[in-house]
Amino acid sequence: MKAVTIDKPRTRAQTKSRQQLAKPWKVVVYDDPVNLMDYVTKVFQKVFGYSKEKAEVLMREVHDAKRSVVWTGNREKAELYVQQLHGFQLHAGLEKEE
Amino acid sequence: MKIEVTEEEGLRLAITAEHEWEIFEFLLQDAEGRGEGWLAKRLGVLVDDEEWDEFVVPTLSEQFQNELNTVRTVVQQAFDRSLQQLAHDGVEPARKTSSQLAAEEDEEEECGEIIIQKAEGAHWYSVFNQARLALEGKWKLSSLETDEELTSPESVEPERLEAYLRSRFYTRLQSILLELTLDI
Repeated sequence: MKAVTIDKPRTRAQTKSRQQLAKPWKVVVYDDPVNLMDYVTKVFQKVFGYSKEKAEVLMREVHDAKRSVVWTGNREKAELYVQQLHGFQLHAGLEKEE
Repeated sequence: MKIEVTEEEGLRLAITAEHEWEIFEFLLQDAEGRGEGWLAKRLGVLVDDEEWDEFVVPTLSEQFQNELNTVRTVVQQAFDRSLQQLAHDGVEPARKTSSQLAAEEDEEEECGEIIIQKAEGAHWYSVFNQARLALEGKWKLSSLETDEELTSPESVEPERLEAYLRSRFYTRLQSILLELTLDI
């Protein structure tokens, strides 16, 4: 007899788990008393390809609000960005979208 | 110390007093922080991932160390050249005309130079930053400014005040690099 495979019905728990995985990750840059503001702007332009205007807005947010979400997307790319930001000695971390 | 922009968009730091070499010794010491890898580990704390410590931190640590080594080599070579020049001048004093001597009197005498090539500007910027991050971590220099302790410097611990002055000097050079040389 030929075996027949039937897809298991997707449970709520599984669905939730996949939704969790699909949730985007945030690249967060924290304020620090050392990095110069113009430097931070240049790094945002370099790493993310942002315009000078957008980079300055984000830099200003880091400075004023002590942190800024500078990019949101999949985890792999977010990790790569954080690594690049650390290479420029910016204080950056990853957070999962709630 | 005099700072000039070179034709190749680098910087020339003219050493005008022997003790100015000490600034660069301090820079290298300050940037070493708490030993190899200190900065990469500190930044890594911001990422809650064991693999980060295993794979990314060593890579960043190597990058920061390479930048430090580049600057160390440039400073050492510049210092060696200044010693050779000193020895040369001592053995064979140059015969100068009175007009040359008069011109020299007008100029500040130099006892060496450090050239920051444009291509190495980012390495220098990084090392100044490493030094400033280490000093900030150790001495909390930003709170020194906000607490306005600087209005009465005699109340500040001498080592902390020296660290503050070095940090200000590193910041000034970073600003010049950022404005004139750095290409990131």
